[in-house]
This record gives sequence, C-alpha cells and structure tokens, in this order.
Amino acid sequence: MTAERDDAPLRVDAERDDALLRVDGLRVEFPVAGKRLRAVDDVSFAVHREETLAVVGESGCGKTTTAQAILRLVEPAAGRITFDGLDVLGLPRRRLQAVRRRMQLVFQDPFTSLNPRLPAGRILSEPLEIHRVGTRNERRARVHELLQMVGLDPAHATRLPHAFSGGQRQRLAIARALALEPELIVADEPVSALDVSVRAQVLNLLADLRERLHLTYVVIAHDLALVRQVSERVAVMYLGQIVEMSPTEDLFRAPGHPYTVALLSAVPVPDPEVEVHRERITLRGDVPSPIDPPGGCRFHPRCWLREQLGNPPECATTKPELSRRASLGGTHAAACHFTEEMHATARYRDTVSAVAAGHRTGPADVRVAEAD
Amino acid sequence: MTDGTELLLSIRDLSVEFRSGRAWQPAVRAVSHDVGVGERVGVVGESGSGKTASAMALLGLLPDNARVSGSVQFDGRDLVTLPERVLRTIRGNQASVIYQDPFSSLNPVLTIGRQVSEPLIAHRGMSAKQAGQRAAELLALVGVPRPKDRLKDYPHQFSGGMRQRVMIATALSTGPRFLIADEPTTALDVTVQAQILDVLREMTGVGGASMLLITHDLGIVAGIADRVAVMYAGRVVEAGPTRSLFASAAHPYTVALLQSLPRIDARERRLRAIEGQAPSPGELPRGCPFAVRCANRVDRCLQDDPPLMPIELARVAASRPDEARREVAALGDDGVPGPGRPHLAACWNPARPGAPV
Repeated sequence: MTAERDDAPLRVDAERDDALLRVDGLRVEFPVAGKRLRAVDDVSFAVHREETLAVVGESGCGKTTTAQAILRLVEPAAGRITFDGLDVLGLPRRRLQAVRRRMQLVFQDPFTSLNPRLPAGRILSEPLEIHRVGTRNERRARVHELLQMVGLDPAHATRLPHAFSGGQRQRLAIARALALEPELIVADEPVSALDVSVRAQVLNLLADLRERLHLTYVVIAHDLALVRQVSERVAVMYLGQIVEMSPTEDLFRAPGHPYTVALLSAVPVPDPEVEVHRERITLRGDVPSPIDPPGGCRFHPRCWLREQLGNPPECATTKPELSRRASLGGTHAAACHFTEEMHATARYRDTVSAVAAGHRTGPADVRVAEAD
Repeated sequence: MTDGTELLLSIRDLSVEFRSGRAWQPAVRAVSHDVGVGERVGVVGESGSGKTASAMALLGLLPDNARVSGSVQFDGRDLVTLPERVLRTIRGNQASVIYQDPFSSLNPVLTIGRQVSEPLIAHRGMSAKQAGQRAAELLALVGVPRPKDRLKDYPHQFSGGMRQRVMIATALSTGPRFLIADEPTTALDVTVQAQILDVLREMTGVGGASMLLITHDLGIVAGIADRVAVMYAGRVVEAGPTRSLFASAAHPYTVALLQSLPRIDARERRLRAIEGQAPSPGELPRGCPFAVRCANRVDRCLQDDPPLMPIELARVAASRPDEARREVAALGDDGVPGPGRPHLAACWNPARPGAPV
C-alpha cells in the first residue's frame, strides 16, 4: 500500500521525472525464532539525480537494511526498485551485475571494509580487473587518478591499509567505490567511525566529488546534525517505516512528526547557552520489537504528543498515512494524525526554536595574529 | 585558590606510557588537574589524546603493559603508589567507573540483581536480602521499570539503554564520591542518550558524586559539565569553566574542533575541516604537537611546546616566553586546571575572542 489519498498525490516526492532511483512499497523480512521480522515495511521514496537523500533513524529502524536492499545485498520480500528506469529486482543475474556497477556502497567502518592484505593500489584496481576495464597500463593510470581524486598521495599505492589513518582509509574506501564510475553512492554512516576532527574532511570530500562527478547520494545516518549539512532531502525512519519525508531545511524549521521533534530535541548542541535553556523531550522506554510492532501508529506507545493530547484513540487504532500536508508547505510529508495540533504545543515551539536558528554563534575565528 | 570548592582529587604530573615491543610509548604527558567535590568535569579529546588512559590511571585500571608516574591525591593518599589491594577497596567503595559498552561490562551469566547487589555485600557488608532490596531501589532510581521483577533477569534481556542504566546503578550502589564515565552514551541511540544523560545529571553534582565525563562529543559536555578540559596528544591543551571555554575558546585546536562540528542548529555550506591528523604519541614533533595543523602557528610553536597559561597571559606570552614560564610557575595551583581556576590554554598564539563564527 502506498501513501495514496484523494487529497494527496501518489508519491510523497515531487513528481520530478529525473529520479535516478525509485523505491516503491519495499518490504524486507528476516526469519527470527520462527517468526518474521519486518525490518523494512512498505517504504517508498525516490532519489533524484545529483541530489543527496539522507535516511535517518535510530538502531533497528531499518535504514541500513533499506540501503542493502537497494543494492540487492538482501532480497526484499516485496516492492519494486527502479534504477534509471530498470527494474532492479526483476533483472536476471547477468544484467544485475551491469546495474550494480552503477551503484556502489561505502561502509561505515574503513577498518573492516578494506582487505588488510592488499596494498591500496590493488584495492582500487581489483574492481577494474573484475569488470575487465582497460589495459594494465590504463588501470594503473586510473588508480593514480582515483588516489588523487580523494586526496591521497598516489605514491602511497603500495601501502597496506593499516599504514593509513582512519580518515585516509575512508578516503580509500570512497576511491574504491568510485573506481567503476558509478552514478549512485549509498553511504552507510560514512563518518561515524572516524575521529571528530577528520569527519569534516571526509564530508567535504563527498560534497566535492558529488559536484565534480555528478553523483547521486543516499546517505544513511543517525546524526541529524550531519544530515542537515549534507542532504537536500531527508527520510526519517522509525521501526521499519518512513514517518517523515521532507526537504532538509523544512524538516528542521517545521518538523511534522512527534518522533522527529523528539530526535531534534535529543541531539546535543555544542553550546552551553543553548543547552541550559533547552527543555528536552524524553521518550519513554525503548523502541519496541519489529517482530510484533504496535498497531495503529507504531510510535504511539512512546509518543509525547499523544500523551499530551489525552491519548486520542486513533493513534492506537489507525495507521497514519505518510502524506503531504498543505500545513507543511506541500512538499513535506509526515505520518501523524495530529501534526497541526503538535504545531500548537509549547514543547514543539521550544524544540524548534532551539534548532531552527540556522545561524551559529561561537568562538572567534582562528586568525594568524600580527606579530607582537 | 579555588572558589571555595573543596577538592576531591588532586592530580600532578600524571604520565602514562605503554610498552610497545621494547619501547615505551607515551600516552599521557605530565597532566595536572584538580577535581572539586560535586564537580562535573568533561574531558574532551579524540582517539589517542590520552583522555581515557589518564582517567583509568587514576584508579589503577590500566592494563599490565602500562607504566604510570606522578601523583593522585585522594583522601590524603596517593593513589599512584597504593597497592592494588587497597585500590580495589577504594574502587568498590568510593570510586566507580561507567564504561562505554554496557554489553561487555556486565557479566552475561549472572542476574542483574546479583550484579547490582554484589558490591553492597562485598563492600557494605549487607545481607543478600538487604542488598537485593537496595538493588531494586537503585534500579528504580535510574529509571528501570518494574525493578523488583527485573532483578531476576539476565543482561541479554535488557536493551542497550537499560543495560547502561543497570551499569550506572551498579556504579552508584555504594554511594561513591567519584565517578568516571568513559563515553557512557557513545554506544546508544540519541533518544536513549538523552535519557542516560538525565540520569547522570541527577546522580552527580552539588551534594553528590564528582564526575569525570570522558567524551569526544562537545555537545554532551556543553549540556552537563561545569568545567571542561580539552586533551590533545597526551596533554591538556585548554581548560576552563564550560561557558567560558565555549564562548571564548582560545586554543586553536578547540576552536577548530568547535568549527568543524556539524551542528543541528545551523546549516553550513561547507564544514571547516581540520586538515591532517593528530600525531601518534610515539612520534611527537618538536614544539607544540598541534602546530603542523594550526592556522594560528607562529615560529615559536615549532620550537617550543607551550605550557598551560591563563589565556590573558597566553596572548602576550610569545614575545616573552621565559618570563611567561616564570609567571606560570609562580601561579602554583592557580596554573593547574581546577574549580574556580582561570581559563587556561597551552598556546603561544591563542584565538582572539570577538567576531561570531
């Protein structure tokens, strides 16, 4: 079932015809203790050419499984994935290889995703050899080019992964993903294993590469602060479903789902003046098991808004559709029965005013001072 | 001088080295720091900065290949020279540690009740029944629902956030005066992190335990710490009251770290990256270890590793370094990070306060 309604168009995304990737009604199941765990349950979205879509959520929300399903690293139980007009799930093995080349995955952990026994140059030439790209000399030139592209010294092609720092290893992993000139990069938490001071380097590199190579990104992340910097649109997932889908800035200025508001409220801001005045929305309990998800709205047992509204019955009985709302500016969809009511609450206003500012104050710029 | 806060812990020239083959690699280099009673101190740094090694050294919790020197005064005793037997009593009674990973730090084959009551029986001489009652109270205190029923459960029956609550309950069971929390929320989701930080905030502070909160996340520190120490390459490079440190960060590393963070309350067209990477502790360059990455570098930085100085002094120190060193020495304890002490930075050319970023 999709988010179809009389008052809302079929898809929650703008009906742009330049979608590189479309995911419709995706469902992924895993057998667990004789039951089926629906890790992803009826997820639909589109990714347009040369945009970055961020998929954000907490552990167990299905964001990584969604990424893996796009690349067919796990087989979906239902749904349709269309890449550049090609039906990915319907493709025979041979033709799947050709499509897979055009989409690549960058993993979270550059310490485990690179073969420790292969030197950097071999790590980069391997995909070229497998796909029989170029002559030996052409491949060598390509490796040189790839290393330069990600800001590594081509002279280090003979080094093994352990001789590189974490940030450099992630650069190498990105170079490997780029080797076959893909159009889509799916990056699963690309910087969360890195030290804080090198995260910005890698994020800036990804931004530069997107522009230079006209890439399209799906970035899987748990960090909303990062999402705000890197993406044009955001899908927020909770317990296997998308609960909100929005142009990035709209999500921070006027979130439409109480779970998104709780997430925004929970992210620490590195500014004690902001922190001291902030009132946090603390969610009760833990995320329920996806083996037996709550009925109605899946978020309802933990929802602060439902409690504040006096537990209206539809939250527990009726699944709210992910639909675009006029009250959310028409391009922004949220799966909540009470978005408008939420916007009238003080907790919503407090949370949003703490994060929406869009400007920052902070320490002085570092400048080289005049010699004393 | 302090602001009247009584000191709980006085650390002087604490150094830690790890044996690597035949060589000793420095991890913590002559760190001095005072912690007040009921103070919450954030220790911020990246991997290899020495933040965890310096904290674990306080309670003798480093592995066998570590060598510790310096002194740690706690209750009139020097923890560095105490035998393991005595340290163990202190760890059970007066000081506790909350680790990053609640999965590996709870015993999987013992019930939660056993694990929370164990220190009460061992160190407080309670009967099993008394300890069980107290354990249930503690679990309730840290927000574990149905605490009495849950005493019978095993760690795997708890979620990550609940396990971390159990860890905190265990750490608090004997009413310690000193708590080390080492990245206590790094393994947790952000909404659960918010819950755990609330618990830590309630359980520490004025009238309660002092806490050393070790983290890489400046956001967490901003919301919970009274004071912050920033570590880089085994040293404290900047320290001060939380507000002062965030509002007028002086060390270019702190400034750069703050600027490079993606912030939820702002959208940047481009993040300001810190180029390069931290030096490995075994290959420290001459001079200031941050100099090679530093936008504020002056000639002296490459020759001469600056001491921690009050920031007003640091701004003029480069032109008269020997005098500045004498002034720092004359400050005595006031030149050491601690409650009520001035905002300090180890830099010959600190950032100037002023223009918003």
